[in-house]
Amino acid sequence: MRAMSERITRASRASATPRPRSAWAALVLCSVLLGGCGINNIPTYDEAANASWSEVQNQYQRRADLVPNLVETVKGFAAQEREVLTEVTEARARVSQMNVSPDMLSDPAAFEQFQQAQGELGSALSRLLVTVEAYPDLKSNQNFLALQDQLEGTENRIAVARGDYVEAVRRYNTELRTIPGRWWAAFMYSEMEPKQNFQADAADTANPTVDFGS
Amino acid sequence: MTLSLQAAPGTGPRWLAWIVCLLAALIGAGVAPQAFAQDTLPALSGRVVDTAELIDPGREAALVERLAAHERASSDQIVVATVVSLGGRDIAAYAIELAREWQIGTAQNDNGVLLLVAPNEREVRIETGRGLEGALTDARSGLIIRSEILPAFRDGDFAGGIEAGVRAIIDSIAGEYTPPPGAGADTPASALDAYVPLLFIGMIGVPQLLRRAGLRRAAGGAFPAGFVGLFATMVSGTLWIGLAAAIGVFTLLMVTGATVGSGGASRARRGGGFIGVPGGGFGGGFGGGGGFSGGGGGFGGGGASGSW
Repeated sequence: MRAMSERITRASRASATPRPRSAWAALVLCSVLLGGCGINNIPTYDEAANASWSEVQNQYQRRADLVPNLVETVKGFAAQEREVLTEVTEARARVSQMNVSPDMLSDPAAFEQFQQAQGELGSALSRLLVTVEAYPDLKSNQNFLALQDQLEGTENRIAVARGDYVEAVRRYNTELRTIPGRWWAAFMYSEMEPKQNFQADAADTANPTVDFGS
Repeated sequence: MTLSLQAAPGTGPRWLAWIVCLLAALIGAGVAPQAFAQDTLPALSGRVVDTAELIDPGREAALVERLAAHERASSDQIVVATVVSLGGRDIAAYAIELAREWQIGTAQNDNGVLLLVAPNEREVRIETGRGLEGALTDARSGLIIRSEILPAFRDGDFAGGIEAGVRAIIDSIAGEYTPPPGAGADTPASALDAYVPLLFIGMIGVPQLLRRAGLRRAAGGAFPAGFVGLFATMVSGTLWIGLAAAIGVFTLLMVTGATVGSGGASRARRGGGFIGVPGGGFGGGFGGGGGFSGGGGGFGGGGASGSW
């Protein structure tokens, strides 16, 4: 009787030792996987998207700041192009009057309005540059060339900043929509909403009409 | 009398060790695709990447020396690239993608400049890193292109135009940043070149030493840990990530009690099988560094373009 119980104890002791060890291993592995499961992703991506948005704002502001100087330089050579110059000045005024904040990223109407206003300024500037083509003195003027470089550079930076923003928003929205981000959002981040992304404007794709007058 | 499937008391099943190694290798492989992502962009083979063969070797060497001297003095990285084709893309879009891929300039200062020439599309662009946008403004870049580079290009003198452009760029940005003392431009890749054979020897040697010291379990855990560590070092390019990976795998194996090749018979087989294959692969992988690499600088789209 005792021999049998001893044998059982010995057997259970021999097989009992690995079992708690693999249970510990399983626990460690699970907690590592869970910890790496992305519980912090949503706020991280949100902040990254907001930072990208600030950069976009920055570059749009830089473009708006170039406008007064540009208008003055063009006026010096082509004052009769009153219509185009006024259009640019008014578009710029509309842009600076807009109220921008990170909240508008989740508000489709506000975002659309912002995009439209910036698009109008962009078209007005394109029309102005097309008009300048008719004035060779202006075209070769060093001041104007420097301004044109700055404007082109800023437009390029806007494009790059928008591209970075689109990527940041894609990552954020994807995290909100996929598992396990969806669960974390429902559980802890219920106030987070998907952000808006840039659409291709109708204004961007329309070709400006060239009219040099008679 | 009970039959046991386990190799020895105190060790886990062997397949668990292989699963762990496979998992670690897969995680490492998840990092690897980023290294090979942009297959249509040229590789950063040096400070002058002349794929369109516009500059003859003598002048190219002089140009490289001037660019290296400037980097030593200021930590700014200027790279000249010529491409046969832009692939139908806008030069500004191509330039920023290339500059970001190569990560020219230090991560701390974003002080990189890329001079990109596309002779078949007849376009040239100076792409400026964020940190140098104040010194090398868009207007200045445009002026350099118009007054220094394009006149020479119109005459067909590409090398002369590039040299004049580089000179003007250096003049614009000289003194903007000073490097920290002791920083060398050419060390990162070559340091790793020296480590790889050492790591490889360690990967084989350390388990053998441990085994001889009688720590059979530790030896069994050290081999896959070393392998994963070496793989991680290769794909990430830094020693510390490899070290961390090796330590992580080693700890995991010790905790789970799984080891590889704890039987005596498999030792000889393993030793013979592994030495030949990785040796050739690792040597080839690091020989082409050339000693110059980007420092992690960022680009925001600043600069100017021109065409002729």
